[in-house]
Amino acid sequence: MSKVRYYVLRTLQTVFMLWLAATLLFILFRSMPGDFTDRMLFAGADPAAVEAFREDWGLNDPLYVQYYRYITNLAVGNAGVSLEYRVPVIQYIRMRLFNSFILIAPGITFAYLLGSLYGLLAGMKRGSIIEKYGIIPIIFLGAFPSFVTAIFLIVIFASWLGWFPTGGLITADTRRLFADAPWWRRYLTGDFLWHAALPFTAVVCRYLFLPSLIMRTSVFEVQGQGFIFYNRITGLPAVNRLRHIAKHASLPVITLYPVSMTRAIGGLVLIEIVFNWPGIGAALVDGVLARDYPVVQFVFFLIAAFIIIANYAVDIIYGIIDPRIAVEGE
Amino acid sequence: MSEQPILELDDVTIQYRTAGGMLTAVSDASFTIGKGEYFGLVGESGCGKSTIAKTLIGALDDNGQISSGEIRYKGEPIQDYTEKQFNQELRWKEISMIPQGSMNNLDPIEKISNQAIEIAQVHTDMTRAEALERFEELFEVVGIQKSRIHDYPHQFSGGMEQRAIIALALFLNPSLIIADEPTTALDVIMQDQVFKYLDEIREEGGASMVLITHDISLVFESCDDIAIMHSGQIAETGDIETIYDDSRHPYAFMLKGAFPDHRYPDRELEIIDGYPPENMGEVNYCTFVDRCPYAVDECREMAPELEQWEGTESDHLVACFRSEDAYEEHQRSMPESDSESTEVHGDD
Repeated sequence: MSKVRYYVLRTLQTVFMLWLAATLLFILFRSMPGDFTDRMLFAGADPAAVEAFREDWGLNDPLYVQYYRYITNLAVGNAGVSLEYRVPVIQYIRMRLFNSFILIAPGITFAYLLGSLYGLLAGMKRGSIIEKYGIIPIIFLGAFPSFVTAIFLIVIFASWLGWFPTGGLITADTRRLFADAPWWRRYLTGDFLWHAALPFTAVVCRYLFLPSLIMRTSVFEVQGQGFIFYNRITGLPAVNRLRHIAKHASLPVITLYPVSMTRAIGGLVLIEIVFNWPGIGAALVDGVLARDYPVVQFVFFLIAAFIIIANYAVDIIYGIIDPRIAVEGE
Repeated sequence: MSEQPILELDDVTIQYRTAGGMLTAVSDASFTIGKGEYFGLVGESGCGKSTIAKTLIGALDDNGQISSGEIRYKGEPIQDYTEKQFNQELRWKEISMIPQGSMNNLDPIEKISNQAIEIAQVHTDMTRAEALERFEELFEVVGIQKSRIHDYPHQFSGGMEQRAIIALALFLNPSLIIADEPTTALDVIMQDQVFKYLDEIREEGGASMVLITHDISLVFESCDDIAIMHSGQIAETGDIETIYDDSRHPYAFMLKGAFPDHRYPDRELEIIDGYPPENMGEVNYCTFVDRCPYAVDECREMAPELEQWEGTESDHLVACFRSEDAYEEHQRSMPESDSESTEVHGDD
């Protein structure tokens, strides 16, 4: 299989997966009992008004019409309007997505760098104290539910020591100060970093064990390969040999990195809620409670799309790092 | 041999620390390799051949150690060299190696040319261009198109990868090449080709070679001298002609009898019963004793030393108390194998 054909096939596959995810979500949400109008009725709205609302929003149309409307709109980047807030879903989600991303991307990246480094160290010194016992605190941290870690961090560093705020994105003062500035300006403040420190630490604690363990095992495995002995007898200095090992051993870690990243976006709901962080996870919980289908459906789609696209990116990058991939089946 | 030998082993004992104690892999081994000489080291698997190979390039496993004896490379004792000394003074510039199972020796995710450049830049002042030019030259020597130096290892067949490893072994013009089972994974035709290249190398440069193999006939075809090992001990050593026609150690002539000989196509192949022992601690017996039909009590009481075989001028050394009687008994049991001398290299 030529490289080009491999990339084209992989791209088509990705598009298909995105469509499949969007469709499955549609089916799933339409099969759930109850919708937004039930909640309106429950809240004591006039049945006639509710019926008018249903007609207005196209909820009485046959499913295939709704589906057609949904999928064509999604294809051009229109995810509908939030029933609860009456603003376009994309507009509502955009900032929240960014908030999640700016917490998770550096957190996961740092966890992966630190974890890989630790795994490399532990893997190279098999049987040493750091290899045997160093992993225990890392697994201990990773085994805690993320919200427990988050609460501990708040109790210790926010309540007792008072070094960091207990939650939120920025203080009201900062918000006022940059009210007229471009939206991204407020993220470039010390105040933001101060608020981000604890949630960031919570993310790192939660995700550190995975790259550490994978890298450690991977380094063990790589050391059994023939070229390790060959690199030694050809007289390569330790640094060069370590570079060869690290490059090989990091392959499985690279596969996992974007997967962790996207899973974190959906999975760190609890950290976001504990720290009162206005991210996508919090938006999801609000949306579910309000039966705000367009929002929830789109957030789910985003999470699925992230994972699909991340895997796509990994395969492409892999093809560049590991030349054996692209010629599979040659 | 008036010239300074390339390599001398003097009563070298190599042991591995194991859960059960010190496992003696090589016991009091001695041999000498002259300049430009091809030296074959033969024996069954587990007899210590590869341990010797690894020791020579300083890459003994972590639990291995040279317990006694001296290894001299060009007169310089190297048995106590550190990893750093091996890297700076010996590896690849002086001693290179074609390791066992060459299929996985190259880093699969790096171009072969880049791996060659890395080796060149670690050990020499060669520029990238010079290194590539030298490597291209060698690819032609081993019969691979020179454009293919930029391939990845997985794009090569097993035989090609093996030849690339040979090219790399020659890369920095070493004085000694250690070839550890260089053709084990290859089919017969490929084996033949590889040996053709190894022969060409001999004609070209003055590199000496240690050829390690379990296939005694390969050594008879391509080497000058031979040592036959059994379970850590060198049983017999000498030049090819002598060992081929006139081996005196029971293991040596039984091993020869176990391989087909085109001079006696109808002869039944001999079988050496039993397995080589695992030797723990000091080896003060002949390791072949349990498998040797000619053994006497003396063989269990002390280790035989390599001694000059009487009546020969060349360095024909045999380590056996019973070699004379055993040889006679063996000759009587095989009436058809007369002592008439035959040309050794005349196989092809």
